[in-house]
Amino acid sequence: MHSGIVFDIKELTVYDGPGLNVAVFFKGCPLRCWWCHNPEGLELGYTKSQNGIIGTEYTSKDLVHVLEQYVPIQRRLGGSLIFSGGEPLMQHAFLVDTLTRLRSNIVLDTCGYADEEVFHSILPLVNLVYFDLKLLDDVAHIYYTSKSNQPILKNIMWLEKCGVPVIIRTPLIPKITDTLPNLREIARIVGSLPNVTRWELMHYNPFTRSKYEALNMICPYQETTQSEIDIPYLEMNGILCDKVEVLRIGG
Amino acid sequence: MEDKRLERLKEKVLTGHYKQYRATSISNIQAENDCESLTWDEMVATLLRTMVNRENAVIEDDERIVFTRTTPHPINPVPKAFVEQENKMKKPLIGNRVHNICADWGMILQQGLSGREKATLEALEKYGQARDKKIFLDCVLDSLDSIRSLVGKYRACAKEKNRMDIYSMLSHVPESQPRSFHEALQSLRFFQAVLWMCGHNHVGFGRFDQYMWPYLQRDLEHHILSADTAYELLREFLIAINRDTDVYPGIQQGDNGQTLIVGGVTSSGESADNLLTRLVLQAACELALPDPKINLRIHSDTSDDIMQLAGKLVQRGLGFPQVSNDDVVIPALIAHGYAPQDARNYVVAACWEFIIPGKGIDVPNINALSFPAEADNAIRDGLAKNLTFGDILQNTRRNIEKRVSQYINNKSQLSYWPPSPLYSAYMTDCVEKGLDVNNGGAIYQNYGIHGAGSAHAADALCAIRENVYRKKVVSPWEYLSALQNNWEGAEELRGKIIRDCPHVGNNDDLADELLVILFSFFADACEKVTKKAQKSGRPVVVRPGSGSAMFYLWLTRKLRDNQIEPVVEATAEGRKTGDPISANLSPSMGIKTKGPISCLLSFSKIDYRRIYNGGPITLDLMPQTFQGKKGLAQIVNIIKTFYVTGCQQLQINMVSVDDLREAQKNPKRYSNLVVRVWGWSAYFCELDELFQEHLIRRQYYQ
Repeated sequence: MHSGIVFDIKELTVYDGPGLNVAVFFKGCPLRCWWCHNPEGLELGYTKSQNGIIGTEYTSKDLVHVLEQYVPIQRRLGGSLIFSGGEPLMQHAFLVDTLTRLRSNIVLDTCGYADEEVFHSILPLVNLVYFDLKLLDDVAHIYYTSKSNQPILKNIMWLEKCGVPVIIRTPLIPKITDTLPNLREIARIVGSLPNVTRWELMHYNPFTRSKYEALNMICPYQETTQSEIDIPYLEMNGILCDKVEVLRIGG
Repeated sequence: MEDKRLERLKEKVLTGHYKQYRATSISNIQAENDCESLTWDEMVATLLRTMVNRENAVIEDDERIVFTRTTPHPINPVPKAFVEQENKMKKPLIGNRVHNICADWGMILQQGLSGREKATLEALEKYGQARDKKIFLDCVLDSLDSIRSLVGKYRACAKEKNRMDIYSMLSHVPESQPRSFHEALQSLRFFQAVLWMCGHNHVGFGRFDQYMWPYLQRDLEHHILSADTAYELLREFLIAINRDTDVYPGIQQGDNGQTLIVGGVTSSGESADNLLTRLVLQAACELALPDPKINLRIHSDTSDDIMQLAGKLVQRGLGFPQVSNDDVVIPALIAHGYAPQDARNYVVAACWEFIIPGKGIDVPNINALSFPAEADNAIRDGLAKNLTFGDILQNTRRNIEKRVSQYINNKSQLSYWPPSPLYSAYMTDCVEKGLDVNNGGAIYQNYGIHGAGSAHAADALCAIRENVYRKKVVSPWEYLSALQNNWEGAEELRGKIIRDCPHVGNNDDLADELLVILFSFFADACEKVTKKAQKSGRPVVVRPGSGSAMFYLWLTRKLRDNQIEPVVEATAEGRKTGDPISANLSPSMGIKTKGPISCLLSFSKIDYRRIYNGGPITLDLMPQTFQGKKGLAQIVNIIKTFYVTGCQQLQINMVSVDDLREAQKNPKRYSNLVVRVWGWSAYFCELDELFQEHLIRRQYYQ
């Protein structure tokens, strides 16, 4: 049996579709996005913070025991178990072990940055993928996230081959991701993939600053202004997409 | 246009406009008159007569539903013999006037004064030979006639002001059955207001959407009213019942028991939801006033739009609707002697307790059992004597039994209610039987005790079991000395307990099983005293509940001289001396839990067939997270989860702690900020600081 480190289990996640959604946050992420709103999940191991050690070790059996409690309610009300992070694929063996023991509606929330084999092996175990597409210009991607977007783009194409339904998510970071050329490119990909059911543009969450402070970290992204992108603006600029939805904090 | 009128009416309530009409001198017929020649019934009826005589009619131009209280709450008269007896026994024998029950509003509206008078006259004919019955029934007649005098004053005032609409309405109601929804609202306003004037308190409205619906339905069907006008009248009524709340007595301003229940099933078990159910939820949301405190009954057929309206009302942050689960409440009531058709007709008393309108004078909140104190005594004793954990549990059980039996033996809480001729006329078949509601007229006369601080006690037992007995990381002596020193010098241990021990509210069986055991001890204790009482010929049931009321403070520091509940000091779950315990069913104060769903799952393990006196799972949500459409969807999910997991009662708060802190600094700016305190909502700035602080220190779910 595998074990892994989880940094939070959150009930009633607000942005994850209808029904009772419960998200599990796995430690570790290959990217270092400037605007990351879960900095406590970046390191693969435990993280020290002013409020104590972040991260709890679970065996896959124990994690399944915790998550199974929600499944009967989800059968009545709808909703999913969402595996998020960090990047859940960073703890691949633990994730596979956990998912094979669960009979529920499973959502994978991924940045898409993973080895092909790892990515391919997980897809039969999930019902839906939340896939982050942040920046399509690779130089900008490397600059703002520390990694190339090539593996990400390869993996998203694979999703179409498998026919797994996908919701694409783009964080709206003013002047970085919310530029018209970037959004136009992402819209083009969204339009070309029939298995993409929705494209969610997510506003930056300014409540995360205190998290960085508690971790003695400096948030690389210091702007506080919100993107002004909305659907009429996208339409005016010829970014036509019936799958798009703009999400605001508390919206 | 009409909305502007309602805006004005609401503004007047908020600015205390009606206080200008209030007289300052309190009616006390004992002090004012020679009462010695009067029986107690006559004293009570005389009090109402005196009150009515003092009332001045107030009709303002923009009102379509009238009545404004101009007298303060009266002092209840007590016959000399009882006062002497009381002094001799050095403790109060006499409880307050009958309160915290629910009238048979449907019946009283339908019959009107003349119908009730007719029934009383028939009873006089039947029972008038017996002197005490004759006195009682004469007093009923006199009280009904007092209402007539009060209405007469208003009719004269209407005529004088040339308000012929009001004049003609008052020529018909409350004398007779209302001919319209408008008249029904006006009639209800008088009937309810008079109970307050009579010295009763915590007067709720019961199943408003059931007994008012026939009037509204008829008006809509015959196109007498448009839906818009009906909604406007409803809002006016709901504003009007906020007008006099400063006069009503309670532990704190706002604790007035003006509950109003909507939804649920009919007495034959079908869905009772109707248009008025929805309009009430909508109007309460729009008005955002502390009264009435809305309770929603949900059942297997509660439709999604009602859930949505309930969720929107929760988002208003008023602390209601409180939701109760018919599927859980009704079978429990039936199992404890309530007739099925009555159980299905249950309402919620001032705070949480399930009572039967017209038929019950249950006293559902006689005392609070302090779970933390009873467990703590057993824990300290066990640690000192090196007992086993099993012994500590058994001693907790024994302590709970002793306390429950002490409360029930303390008769001052239970008997000698002063007579209530008027309230008797409001109840089902009391006058018809020639009986006062206090004196055999009511069918259900049970008692309720609430068990407060259950999560703290379960966490305390769990902390001891895990640290001292299972993992053996702390010696009994060390733990005891930490408790005795109020955790001083043991901060590290305390931090570890708070952080790492299993807690109720996390859906962790290790802690939850102790919660379940504590409540089963409590249920056993109540069943034991019930059997004992029944053997001695008193057919009462003692109902265990899970509310905390003001006891979340009162059980942790001595705030009253005559308090019989024990005050608990530092406790094993890490609580320090003087720190409050959490409200109703909610995780221990200062504990971070996974979220609202885990909290519901923890408390769903309680056996509500045996713990059925009410007392909600209390969730505090952060408005930032639960606002907007998506927040609404999540609140609806919480309510649905509450239902499908078989919980009994739920109350959700949504206030911003930042707002509360600002309101403390700047009360004028936040004078209209409404919060839920325990079983009721009130203006935050009118609360004592201790209650304000409790609200600020709760765990708010993100």
